[in-house]
Order: sequence, then structure tokens, then C-alpha cells
Amino acid sequence: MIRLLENLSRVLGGRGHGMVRLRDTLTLLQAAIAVLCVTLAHSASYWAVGVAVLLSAWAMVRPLPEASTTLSQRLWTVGIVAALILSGVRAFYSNELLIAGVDFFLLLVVQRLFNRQKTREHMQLLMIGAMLMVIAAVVDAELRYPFLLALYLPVATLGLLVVHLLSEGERLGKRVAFEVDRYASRQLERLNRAALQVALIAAGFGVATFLFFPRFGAGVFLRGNVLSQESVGFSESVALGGFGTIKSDATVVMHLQTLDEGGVQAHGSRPTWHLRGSAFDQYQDGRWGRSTAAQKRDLRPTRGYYVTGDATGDDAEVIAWPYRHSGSTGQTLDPRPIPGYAAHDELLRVMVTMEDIGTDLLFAAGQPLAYSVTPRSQLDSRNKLGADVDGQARVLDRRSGPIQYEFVSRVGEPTRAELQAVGAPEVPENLDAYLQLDPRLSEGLRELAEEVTAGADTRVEKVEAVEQYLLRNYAYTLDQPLSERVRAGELDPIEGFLFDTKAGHCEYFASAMALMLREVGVPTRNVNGFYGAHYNPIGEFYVVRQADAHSWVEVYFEDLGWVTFDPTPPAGRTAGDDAPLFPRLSEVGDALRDAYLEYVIDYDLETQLEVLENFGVKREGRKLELDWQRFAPWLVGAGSIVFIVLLGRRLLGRGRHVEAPEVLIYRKLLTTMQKRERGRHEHESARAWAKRLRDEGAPAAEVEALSRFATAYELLRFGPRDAEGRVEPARVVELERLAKAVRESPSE
Amino acid sequence: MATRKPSELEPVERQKKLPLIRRMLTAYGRSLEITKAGWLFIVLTLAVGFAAINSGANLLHVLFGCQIGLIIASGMLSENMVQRARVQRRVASPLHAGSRGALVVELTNGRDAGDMISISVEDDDRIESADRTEPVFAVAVPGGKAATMHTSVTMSRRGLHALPKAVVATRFPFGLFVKRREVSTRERVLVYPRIHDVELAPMFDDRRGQGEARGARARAGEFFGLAEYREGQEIQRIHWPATARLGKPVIQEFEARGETERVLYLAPGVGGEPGFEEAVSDVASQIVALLREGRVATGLRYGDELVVEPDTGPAHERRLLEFLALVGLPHTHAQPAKAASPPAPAPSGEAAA
Amino acid sequence: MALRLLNSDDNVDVSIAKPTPASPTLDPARLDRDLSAIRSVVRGQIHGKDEIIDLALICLVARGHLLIEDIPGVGKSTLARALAAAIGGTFSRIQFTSDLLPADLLGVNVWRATQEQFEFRQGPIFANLVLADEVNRAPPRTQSALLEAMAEGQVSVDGTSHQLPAPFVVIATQNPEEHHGTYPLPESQRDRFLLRLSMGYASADIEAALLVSGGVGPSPLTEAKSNAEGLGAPTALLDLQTAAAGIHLHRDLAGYAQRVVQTTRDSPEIRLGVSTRGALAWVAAARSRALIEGRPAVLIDDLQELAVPALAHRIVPAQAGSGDQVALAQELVRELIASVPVPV
Repeated sequence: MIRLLENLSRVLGGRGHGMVRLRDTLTLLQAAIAVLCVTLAHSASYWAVGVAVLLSAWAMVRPLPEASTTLSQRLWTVGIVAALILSGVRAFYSNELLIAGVDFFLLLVVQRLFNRQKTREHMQLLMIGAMLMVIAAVVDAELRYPFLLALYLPVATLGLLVVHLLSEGERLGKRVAFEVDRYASRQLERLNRAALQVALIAAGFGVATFLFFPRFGAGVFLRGNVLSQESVGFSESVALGGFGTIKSDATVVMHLQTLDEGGVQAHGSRPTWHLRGSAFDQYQDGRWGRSTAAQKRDLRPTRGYYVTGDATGDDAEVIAWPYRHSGSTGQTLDPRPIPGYAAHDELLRVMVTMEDIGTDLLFAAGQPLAYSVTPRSQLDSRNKLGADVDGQARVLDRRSGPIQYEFVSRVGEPTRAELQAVGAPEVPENLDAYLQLDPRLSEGLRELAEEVTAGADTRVEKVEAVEQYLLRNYAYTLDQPLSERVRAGELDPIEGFLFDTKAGHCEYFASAMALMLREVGVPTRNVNGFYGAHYNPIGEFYVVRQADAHSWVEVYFEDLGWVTFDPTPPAGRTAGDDAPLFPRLSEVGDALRDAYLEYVIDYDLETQLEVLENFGVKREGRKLELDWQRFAPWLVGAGSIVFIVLLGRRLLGRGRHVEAPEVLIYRKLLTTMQKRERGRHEHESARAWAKRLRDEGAPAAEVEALSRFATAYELLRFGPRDAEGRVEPARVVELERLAKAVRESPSE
Repeated sequence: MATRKPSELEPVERQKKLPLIRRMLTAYGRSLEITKAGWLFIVLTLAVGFAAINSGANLLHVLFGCQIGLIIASGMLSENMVQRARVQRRVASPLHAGSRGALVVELTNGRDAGDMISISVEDDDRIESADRTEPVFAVAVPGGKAATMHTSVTMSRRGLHALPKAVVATRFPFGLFVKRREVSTRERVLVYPRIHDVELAPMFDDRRGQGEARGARARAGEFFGLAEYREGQEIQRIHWPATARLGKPVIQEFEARGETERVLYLAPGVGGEPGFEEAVSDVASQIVALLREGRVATGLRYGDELVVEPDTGPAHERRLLEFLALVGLPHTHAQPAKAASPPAPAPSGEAAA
Repeated sequence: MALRLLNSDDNVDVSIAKPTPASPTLDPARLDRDLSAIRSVVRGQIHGKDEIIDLALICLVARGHLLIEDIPGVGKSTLARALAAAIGGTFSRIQFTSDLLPADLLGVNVWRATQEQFEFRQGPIFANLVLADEVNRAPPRTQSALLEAMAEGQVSVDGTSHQLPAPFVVIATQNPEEHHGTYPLPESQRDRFLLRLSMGYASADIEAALLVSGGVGPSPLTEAKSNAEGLGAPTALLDLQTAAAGIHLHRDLAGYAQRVVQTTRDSPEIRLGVSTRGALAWVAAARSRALIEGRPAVLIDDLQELAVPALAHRIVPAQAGSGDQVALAQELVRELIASVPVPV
């Protein structure tokens, strides 16, 4: 550790020497960690960080002048003031107060590094480092922060210690400064130990404060990064071809935790949920969009849930509070029965933690029935839900940052017989939007659709015919081979897929199926979302990755509602089961991150009380009560740890200093005589003591016995021993007898 | 007076008036002082704490706890360092009023286990004093070990005085707080009078012509011993009995004395009076000059009593200076009873023996 | 501190001279007999000074040299003579005067015409027991010659070394410093003496008895008589010395001795503390005392009893003054002994 530090200071420490070089290294290192922290939290402009790194490197390698000149000081002052004004302006206009501030701090760091002759600058560097760490703590909710903090803390403590020593040198004059520089580098190991000790104490207090300091304030729900990362496919209108690029992106966008009974046993490790997000009814010029005529259902708040429904009533009745109110698992909804739909009550209940992917949509599997969004904080009334067309649910006034919600949806699908029973009904007028066709589409498409569905009487037969046709005759590919005719603008991309390239990804399959079905009078809509989820056995949750983005088709079956069909060949539905690189490692990382978010970032008063309850401290109204049955084991455990440590120290100490039996006998006798108020003086030998007592007129019998004991004791104690340093046991026994004689002699 | 010379009788030490906060912090035997960096750190801590409580952000709680931990660790460790320090000071060179003397400070780590880090021994800055020691600083003293440090001390007045009141102070670990403990023992040192340069030539001039012949002067000193005869030495100095015993010529040797004996005179006076102090300083300077440069057997007459017989050598010099260090000062046992002598300041002079 | 070495191993022999391993031929009974023989001879000549005699004996057995400091006429020479008589072997008395030359002490090379070469004629120092009377009367050069011989156990004259006989013990007497015309031994040279004693006046009844008997003087008759009762051969003293060096010293006691010595160095009242040589001497004397008392190991009492004679002349009190520094030094040592805790 120290070797490393010394080598590091040789490389990084600029042109100083000894302690000065170490100090420079440490302050630079801690500033670097702090800057890294804010940079990773996206709270600094990358250009500013780059410039700061370059300037710092220059500051460290250039020969440091003895003292900075007045001119350079003035220039720096002017520069700092200018930067301050610029930062203010920037904050005002760009609304990036945080980033402007952090960039300004970076400039301050550079300035201190250029003028680092005195310890004052180093102290300020350490303070700036601490400020940056505080800023990063506010912004960054990722797992990297605790690691960086663990790195920062010992470096900063040692830095503080070294800066302190050198400042003592500065305070007490040149003579002391010389000695500090000379001796401190020799005592580096001790200093390091002291710094580590202090860092451990600080860390201990940090953890204790975290655990037990009551969270008076309303906790903030902050799962992951505040800053959003746009994701394609979920905006107002979607051009074909966007999904191809994200199919290889392994970024986790959702954590799913099933709340119904069963868990992984029931759903398997690779469930085939179609997590629908956005839906479209209009196809125009190779883009999907929404029309005003689209179907819209209601979303009504009931007992903590927003339940879907229409004018005739809610789709389900809430029979229990959602998880965020009661921590409930199991069934909370009773769906309204649908005639001719046996599996209508097959529900899925999932808690979703979704990263900010730049959309206010909520994703839910199958047919969503109810949502319940966890508010940011207890006082935060925002994150209200609103229903959008085509069964989309949106968070109104969505704030940046991750969001957590619970959905309950129907995943049971109607059987083929039930679908067949629907027959081939007339399409009512209000569903015209789902039969809309781009007039630019050619006749060929209609002919193909009719040809494929020839012989299909019922709606379900038509759907199956098209689906089977696509599955059998078209290949899945992530490339987007556009045919000549499409490029020339003669053909629609879907027609290009159907007639020319005969290969494409999910969007083409889904769009083609939707459009073909519309050509033969079946109302369809295009749905974008995520397909499937991956079980993480370590964290016991499901993850959905960016690469799981998918597109499929929903077909209207009268009273049974919209039913999902997926024409994409199964191989193309998911981007494979695992993350591309080190799947196991990424699973562990993901589980750790989730645990960190749940137990550290989201730790709140409730969890705190739970922890306390585990320790046996219970809240009874306004009073705290101790449950001794629970508290006692902790107490005993802590006590025994202390005991073991003390015992260990004692035993280690004993290795050096063993009390011989004769000494123990003597000590016992000393105590006895002390009680008789004829104790030994510290500087007296046993015999001198006996002699003094005789002179002082102590009881004759006692003095006689004591003299005999003293002589025997001293010869035994200081006399020669055998090679192993032992004495004959008989002599110890004899000594004990003599001691007993003294103790039993009449004391008066 | 341009430069304030401390008068010999007025107390050199005075309690300084301290700022209110420091008085509060140091009341009831506590000793805690918060440095500028300390205040800054406390403000930062409070800010983080405020932010933590208001936002409920857990990481801020962690940082807040870390900072509180640092403050508490600072307090505990510095207290620990100060408590385990044992200080012993001793003067390592003759100490003259107003000039620096070497001081050896031995700093012992009073406990067997654990290092003592960043300890300084410095003058108590709560006391204004004309006496000063330069501070010393130990980076680390291992458990049970001692560090010997060298520094200097300046005492303003002659006499038997305690060394300036010292404190063991530490700002360990981060210079946020200053912990102090007074060093209970104040070693008393004997401070010799102020010494200044003395021109020796005039002192010898008035004796010129009175001295003995050169040949005689060589034998004027005390008998030193016998030595083998070398060609050209005085035949009168041959020691015949020894020559007979050893069978080769042996001559007697005498201690060489550059000058005759000289007894300096100091008029009686009372310590603290400027005139008397000046006289004491003059006499002391002359003594040092005579004994070191002129190698004159020097004695001292105080009033009409010959207090120190003429002699030479470092021990003798010490004896003279010790007398001068204490002369005229109250409550000193070395002071000869001179109640009858007039206290009027008189210029020092010299008298031949 | 060099004395820490003592702590490292219990069995290390610590003595001033080179340690000789205790030879198995040493017969405790014979040692005992020899000791009582010496004692009875000396006590026969000096009355009422048993303690002093024992200390002198301790010094002899510890291979040390003895410094007796007192006013003239209290029996210093008598004691030396009696000791010489008791151990047997050769004895010489040198009266130190201001004109005593080193050559008078050590000897000279004389030209032997018949053999055509120089022959070393031994000085009076070549004896088993040398009484250097009034050593502070001699000039410093002569004093150093004596002290060098004491330290080295040999004499160098004109570049040739001459071994002194074994055992070689110097008993030096010194008049109190303030006497006129003396050269008091400097601190560094006092360090070479193992013990320093003061005889003190004889007690009233003994003195009266002395007056009646006309004093017990060194007559040739008594000397011859005591020789017959004493050891007869100085080799017996060598055996005693070897036995003393082999006395066990517990490491805790070595630690105690070290603490006491360290305290003399740290005490503000002491300008010059005890050197490592002084500590070694103290411990050697304690061993010797244990042997004389017939014990196999050094006890605390041995160290404490010998602290004043073994240490007081090695320290210089810080307090200035030309008064009786001896008494002050002794008092300081007593204070130290009364303040340093002993090992339990």
C-alpha cells in the first residue's frame, strides 16, 4: 500500500520531494476521485473535464515556482471572476445550474493545482473535493458511488493528515518544517495506519448515521439516474427501422418483481410477456401514428389503483390495496367476467422499476387492468396517471428520473375456439380507424392479402392465415435491406419487405401483418413494447433490456377485446437470453445494483423502523420500547465480540508477560497485608518490608512468618532456574505454605 | 525607552485576554480550540446535515455521518495524543539572560501501545511572557518510546526561574481542532547574568609595568608536575631527587598563568534596579572575558567580602556566574547576608587582590 | 541503552572484567571457608567497621577497585593492609605526592650493561593489592597512569605492555576535596572505581578501646600472623571472583537496575547520570554481595544496599555549589532508591 503510494507520488507528485510530493499526490488523487465521481454522474461538461485534466497535468509536470508571482495571482483572480460571471450567465440561460457550478469547481481545482505552494491551497483542494463528493452524492444513485466513496475516504484522510503535518511545519517555523519533512516520510507507515483508523471511524459513523439517524424529511424515491436516456419506439409517431439499432443494447430498462403467487416457478425464467407501451392506428408514408378516432378507455382511481374501464364500468373491482400501501402480494383485483372468455381471470401482478427512457408511458403485459404508481415522496402528489388512446397509460407531469409502479393485467388469452366463436362480424363504424390504409399502398398488397386469406371464413382464420404466411415465408434480419423500388420511392417499405427483400425485423413483420389484415377487413393496431424478461436468480427479479424492444399486432375480437398476435419468427423476438458480454457477471452486477437501490438509496423511515424492530426496538405510539427477547441476542453478540477482542488482547499481552505462580502467591499476600494496613511500599523488597514491619512493631508471629516467606520468595523469584525457566513445584508449594502461615497468623 | 527591557522585579508572565469563544471553549479546564479550517469544516458539515435532513437523501446521511465521525475522531484522537504525552525539558547549555540557550525536550509516549502522532511542545500562548522557548514538534512517537528534540530557550532575567509555561498541543489528525494540556512540571533553571562583549586590552593596560619578570612568571603558577628535561630548558627547574631516582634529567613544570590574580568588585545593590543589574552584567561579562581569553585567575568581591577566591577553570567560572546570577535577588539561599550594605546602585569596579 | 542487553538473556554474565564461565571445580564449601577466613583476618585488625569490611570484600570479589574517601587517620591504610594480608599475595603501598611521576608508579626500562639490553624494572604497581594512598595529592598525569593501569590490567612503558598480576586490586584513598594542594579525581576517573566508601570515625567505645590498646598498627608480627590465617594464595580470590561472576541475576532485577540508572539520567537534580559502566559495576557488586552472603542469586536488597557506594560517586548533582557534594550525591541516590518501584 505504502509502496504503491510512494511510486504513485513519484509519478504524480510533480517536482517536489518527500512529504511535499506526497501531499501533492494525495490532494491531486482525492480531487481526481471527486471529479471522476461528478463526471460519472453526468454533472460536469465533458469538455470542461477534459480541459481540467489537461491543465492539471500541466500544473503537475511544470516546475513549481517558489512562490506565485503577483502578476499570475492577478491573472488568476481575473480569470476566476470572469469564470464566475460566465457560469452565472450560463446557469441562467441554459438552465444547467448544477453543471455550470461543477464546471466552475473544476476551474478552482486547476487554479489550486497551479498555485499549490502553501498548505492553504491543499486544504482548499480537499474542501473542494468534499464539495464535489457531496454534489455527486445528491445526483448519483448508482452503485459506483459507494465504491468511489470508499476509495475517496482513505485518500482524503491521509491527505488531510499530511496537509496537517506540513501546515504544522509552516505554523511553527522553518526549523520544525525541516524536521517534519525529514521525519514524516520515515514515519509514513504510522501515518498511514492513523489515517486508516480515522477513515474507519468516519466510515463507521457514516454507516451508523445512515442506519439509525431518523429520516424526518420526506424520503425521495430515486431509483437510478435522474438524467434520462432517450429510447426509440415510444414517441408520438414512429418511423420504421428504429428498432434495428437498439436490438444489441443490453442496458437494463426495467426491473420486474412479480407480486402474485407463484413467482419464478409459475412464470419460468424466460416468461413470454408482451409488455405493451405505445400503440398506433394510423399508417402513413412508412410511419405509424395516432388518429383522433382511436379508441379511448378511462383510467379511474380506486383504492390506490388506477383501474381501466369504460362508460359501462370498471374492468375489474379492487379487492385489496396495492403493494405500496400494504405490501400486499397475491390477488388484489377481481376482473369483470367476459362471456365466452374462460381465461379472463388469469392475471399477472408485477412491480416495475423503470429507468427514465424518455417516455411517460407505462408498460404492462397483456391487457392492463390497473396501475399504481409509487410517488417520489410521501408529500409528492404528482405522478398522476392519465389514460391515452389504445389502452396506453401515461404519467401526467412526469419528472425526470426512474419511476416505480405496479400493474395488474390480464395475461390469459382466449382459446382458439373462443376466438372462432366470434366469427366474422361486421366492423362497426367506430373502429374505422383500425381499418385505415395508406392510399399510396399498391393493389399488390390487397391481392396478396386476399390470396393468403382465401378460404378463411372467420376473423381468427384470417389472422392465423396471415400470421402463418409471414412466419413461413419471411426471414428475420436486423439489417434493413431496402429494395431498389423502396429507395426510389416507388414502393412503401412494407411492400418492399413483402415483395422484394422478404426479410426484415419485428417492425416489418408486425406492420405487414397489420396492414394485410386491414386489407381484408380485420381491425388491427400496431403495438410497440418489450417482449419477454430475463430472470436474475441472484437478485430474484426479472430484467428487461433495451434489446428486448419489440413490435407486434393486436387484433380486435369484439367482446373479447384486443388479442395479441406476433408474426415475428420466435428467433427474432428477443435478442437472445443473456447480456452479450459476461452474462453471469452482468447478472451479479445487476442484482447488486438493484439491492443497492432498494436498500441504500431507497432506505427510508419505514425500513429504518424495520431494522430497529429487528434489533428489538419497537415503536409503541410515541414511545420506543425494547423487546428484550429480540434485543438480548444482539446485546449478547456485541458483548461477546468486545469480550473476545479484549481477551485476545490480553492473551497476546500475556505472551510477553507471564505471571509466575510465585508472583501470584506474593500478590495475594500483598493484598492481604494491605488490608491489614501493613502493606509494602513500592520501592521495598519483600525482605526489606518484613524488616520494616519488625521495626515498626508489627505482631511478632506475623513478622516471623513474613520474614520466612520473604526469604523463600525472593530466592525462588530471582534465583536461578532450569534451562526452561521453571522452578521446582515443591518449592512453590512450600512458598504457598509459608504465605498461608502469614495470612493465618494473628493480625493483632 | 525604545526597547522595553523587562524590569527584574515585575512579573514577566501575564494572562492574556482571550477571545470570547476561546474562553468558552477553554472554561472548566477543558482545552479545545477550533481552527479556521475547523470552523469551515463544521459549517460544511452542518450544511450537509441540513441538506440531508431536508431532502432525506440517504447518501447525504452517509456523508454527514462521515463528517461527524471525522470531527469526533479528531476530538478523541487528539485528546488521546495529548493525554499520553510526557514532557521533560532540560537546559543543555549555560543560559544567560537575554540570549539563547540550548534546550532539550524529551517527549515520551506514556502508553505502551499506540503511536503518538503530531505533537508539539510550545509556549502557552494564553500567557504573555518575556521568556520564550522555540516550539518543537514530533511527527510520531511509538508506544512507550521517547523522542528527544532540540530547541532553544531565551530567558529574560537572571536568577533562578522556571522555564516558560509550556503546553503539549496537538492538532491531530487534521488541524481542525487544537487540544492542549499544560505541562505540569516547570523545571527551574539558573539564568546567568546578561553578557556583552568586553574589550580586554584596557584592563591589562593599567597593569602594565607592575608585572613580574617573564622568567619568574613562568614559575608563578601552581606546581603542575614533572617532565623529562629537554634541551634548552632552565637548569634551575631540574628536580634533582627525581632525576636521581630515574637516572635521567627531570624538570618541574608549573601551571602557566598569563596574568596575575585579579579580584573584581561589585558594589552591593538590590536586584531589579537598572544600575545594579547593569553592574552585575558588566562584572559577569568581565569575568567571562578574563577567564576565557586572558586566563586570569579571577575572584569576586561583593561589598567588603571576598565572596569567591581567585582561581581559573570552567568550574570556577560557573561558581562566579552562579553567584552573580543570584546576587541581590530576594528569596535566594545563595544570597549572602548583606543587610547593612547600602542599596544605592554603584558602578562596578575592580580591586587588586 | 547498552544495559538493555541485560534484559535479553538471563544467563548472560555481567561483570567488569571479562566473564569467566563458572568452573565446576568451585566448591561452595571451600568458597565459604575462604570468605570467612578473609573476614576474620580483617576483623581481627579493624574493629567496629564490619560493614566497611564487607563492602571492601565485595569490591575485591567483584574484581573492582576501591576508593576510600575520608579525612586522614581513620584507618584507611590499616584496612588496605588488613585486606592484603587476608588475601595473601603481594602488597605494595604507594604514597602519592605532588612530585610522583608515572614512571615512579609503573616502572622504567633500565640499561643492563652486562646483557647489553634494556630491562624493565617493575614499579610498585606490580602487586596483587596496591594501596594508593592519598591519590589526590599526585598530579593529574600520575593519576591517569594509575587509572589506566586499573582499567587495562596492564602497563605500557616505551611501547611494551607488561601484564599486571592477577588478582589486581587497587585501593585508593583520597582526602576530601577541599584540602589545599590537591588534585581531586575528575568525575570520569572516579567512574573507574567500583565502590566508594567513607570510613568515618570509629564508634566511641571502640575508639576508647583503641586508645587503651595503643592502636592496632601494621606491625610485621601481626602481618605474618594473619597471613597464616588468611587464604595463603591469591588464587583463592580468583576463584571467588569467578564464582561471583556466575551468580544468577534475574532479568527483572536487571530491568530494575536499568530503571534506577535511567532515572539518574533523567532526574533534573542530577547533572551527570550513571554511565553504562557504572550500571555494570553496580550489578557486579550486587553479585559479589550475594556470593558473600551465601546466596545463589542476586536479590533486590543486594542492589539497594549497594546503590550508594556503587552509584553515588558516579553522579554529579545539578545544584551548584562547592559544599559537600559527596553527601548530596549520596542523598540523591537514596531518594532514587526510595522512589523507583521494585519488581514484585
